[in-house]
Amino acid sequence: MLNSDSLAPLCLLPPLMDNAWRRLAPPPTSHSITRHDNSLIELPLPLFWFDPPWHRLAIETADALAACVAQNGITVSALSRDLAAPGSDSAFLNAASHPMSTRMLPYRPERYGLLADDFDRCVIIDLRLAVGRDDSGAHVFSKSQIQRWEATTDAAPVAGGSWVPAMSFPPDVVSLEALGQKIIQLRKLSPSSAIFASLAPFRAAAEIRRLLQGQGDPEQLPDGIIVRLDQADFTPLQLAQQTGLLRKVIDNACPRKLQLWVVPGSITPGDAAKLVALGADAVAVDHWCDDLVQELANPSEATAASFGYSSRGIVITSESARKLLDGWVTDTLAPSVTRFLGLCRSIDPDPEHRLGSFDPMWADTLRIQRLG
Amino acid sequence: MTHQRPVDPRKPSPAPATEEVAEYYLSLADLTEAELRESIAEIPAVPSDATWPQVHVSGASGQSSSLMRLDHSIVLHVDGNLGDYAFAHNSRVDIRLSGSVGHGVGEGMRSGSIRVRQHAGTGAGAAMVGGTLAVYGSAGPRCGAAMRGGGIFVKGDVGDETGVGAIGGMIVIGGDAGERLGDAMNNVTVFIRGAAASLAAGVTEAPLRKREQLRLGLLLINASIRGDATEFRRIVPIAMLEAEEARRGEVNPNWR
Repeated sequence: MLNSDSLAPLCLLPPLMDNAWRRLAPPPTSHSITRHDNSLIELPLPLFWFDPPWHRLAIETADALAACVAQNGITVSALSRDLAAPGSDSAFLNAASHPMSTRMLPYRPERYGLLADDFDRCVIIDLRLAVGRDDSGAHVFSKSQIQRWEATTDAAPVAGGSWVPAMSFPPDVVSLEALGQKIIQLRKLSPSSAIFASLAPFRAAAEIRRLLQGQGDPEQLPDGIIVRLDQADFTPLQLAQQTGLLRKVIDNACPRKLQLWVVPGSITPGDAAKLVALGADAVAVDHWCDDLVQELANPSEATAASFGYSSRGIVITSESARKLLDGWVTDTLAPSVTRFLGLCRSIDPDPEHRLGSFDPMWADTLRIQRLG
Repeated sequence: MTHQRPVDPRKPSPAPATEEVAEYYLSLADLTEAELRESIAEIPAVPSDATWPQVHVSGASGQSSSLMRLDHSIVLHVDGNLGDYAFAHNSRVDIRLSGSVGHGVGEGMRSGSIRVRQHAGTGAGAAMVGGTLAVYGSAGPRCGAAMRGGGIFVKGDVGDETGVGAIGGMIVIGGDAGERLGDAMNNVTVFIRGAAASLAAGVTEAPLRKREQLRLGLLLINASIRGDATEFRRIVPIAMLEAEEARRGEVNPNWR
């Protein structure tokens, strides 16, 4: 984890000196999303794990980790094929055993690995319009990724056991302006979910306007927008600026309040809280959770000694190992989550009095109070 | 054969005796999508060796996202045209649509069959996993995009980028194809009777082998299409063809 805030020049402002008492904001222990029909979806926290590299873990371990992270209030993105082999069920997706579990369903343009049942056990469908990259940087899915999704045998691997190109837009949608029909379809496939669209940052403002202004029916609008700010190498100031700008673009382009979720890359709890103050409704904490994957995939001696080690890395199969994992994940995430929640409680309800900076360039660029 | 026409279309009649075929009549004009799905789900299952119940759906007039996620052993006759994403993510159902259909017909279907008598829009059979999609007119661009299995048969022409990103299955084109046929395609065989405006980089025409002639011939018979399998040409990824030619003794070829 990072030790210092990238957004350190930004200050969450305390109350004015002569203000004797400012009531604390309620803790964001639940996060409401208003859908197109005004129904509400409650999430435990405004934190999510956008793009977990599940294929790097043994499938049992991926399932157990998803459940543990969700137990800490973080919404987790996964296909059922990411977490359970064909014919078996996922403990994470078994809502009865994990009442706090919340899942985002990544609906990629290619839909590799997607099953019809995936639409049943999710609270958010993430209609992905941002093409991903594998470790090499190419717009492809790696061999291990595609094998996890399609579950073919070693003797008959997809693409002969090599990578598969990734798409950038659903092939059954004619244009961005026609995306509304796809959104309506997803609403019908998963009637109780909220529909989000996730975009790359490069032309996000223009694309959000096209997406939101091109739809005639409110049902055709997504309930929220996710922007993958991590895809561009933004400076901290640019990250803050983009978050504030996108908030304004969404608010101006749509008559009803839409969620803005951001995927900022490596951040601290302080950065996450400042992004909320800048206008994000939820923040991706992939950096925090990917560290857990890294440790389970390539365990240190201490971790291997605790969980046991096999040729597939750490494999969580027993109930005792699950409990051990739960404790380890909570011990790792809880300090960051607690700090984030504490900082969020201190955010002034009035956007004008939330943030300031001693750095004139930051203050002027973000149009916030210049301090000092 | 009995012809049951339930008074309340939401409550289908009980299953008939074994040798009889039950028929049900539902209307898209009278029922919401959810009510229609519920009505179909209530149709009693028949033994696996019995003739499947026949369900007649009227009132199709271009509705989008219709008749999705059905998983029932029935024959569904839909009279009219449907809009985008019809019959998406279905399993087992044998569907016959008398008219045309919009974009994304049969998206993600797992098994069963869909027969569209007229035309289909963009992305027909996108991401389908199994089963058969037959379009007796023409299909738009990106037909069979990202398909993962099953078979698509288009009697007429298909648009640009047919089979883009497909990783399994078979596409049969009775007419011509547009630009970049087979772009980024893996593990997929395309049979085409007409001409392609262009083949994508990485795919090539390959000889039609005896086994493919048989496979294709059966498909044409099943689809009630006149013609000989030898009239078709086979388009495959170059890497797949090279692996095919070098396969003798090679168990796990890496195509790249």
